[in-house]
Amino acid sequence: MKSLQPLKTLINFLFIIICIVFTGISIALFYVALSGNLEFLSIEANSQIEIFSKIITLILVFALQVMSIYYLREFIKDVSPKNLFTIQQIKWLSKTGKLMILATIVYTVLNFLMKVIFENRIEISVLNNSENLFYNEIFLLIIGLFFLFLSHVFNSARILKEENELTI
Amino acid sequence: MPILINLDEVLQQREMKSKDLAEKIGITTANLSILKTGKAKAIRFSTLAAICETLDCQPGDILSYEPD
Repeated sequence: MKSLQPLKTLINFLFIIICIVFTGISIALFYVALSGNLEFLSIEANSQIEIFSKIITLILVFALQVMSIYYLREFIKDVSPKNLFTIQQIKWLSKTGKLMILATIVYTVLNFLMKVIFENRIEISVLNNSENLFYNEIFLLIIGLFFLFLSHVFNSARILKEENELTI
Repeated sequence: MPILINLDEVLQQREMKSKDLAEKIGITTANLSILKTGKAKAIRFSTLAAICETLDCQPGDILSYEPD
């Protein structure tokens, strides 16, 4: 498990950066929105309600993503060659997957609703960023489902490990 | 679990202590305790054979089946 240590370092680094960015962006967005200085924002919108909706969506999705990374970090922090397949690890994996799926669904649904309400058009886009194929809703859903699947694999492994330990 | 372990009775008949049996068959007393208390999920044939050899008995003397 040579990859475990760099993985722990990277996820810790990413989590700290994300927390700082999340806090900074949240404060800045609300400050700018409440002060009425909307020109400062680079959000394309026709009304204040639209700007607020976009800000809320942004923060909500970002918060869900931060939570999923938090649980992934907890899982990676706990994992070691001698400490594998515990109930807590299974819960963390499951939560990571569920939150990733939820964040993707919330983002897609709110984006769809905002386009219907504010732009009077129906549009569902699944490949928003064509430059990076990994950054699209379907791939994020796949990763979320993969984490859920991994939690089931860990649960099966836990049962097998318990059986093995209780075989005399 | 409908499989019951009668190891205590056999040990009593042979006037042998659990610790001595564990030493002779090469398992820890903790594992033997798991076996005796019925917490074990399975028993290896090699362990069963070692117990039968040491206690001079048949598997049926140690294990019994009682429906739930």
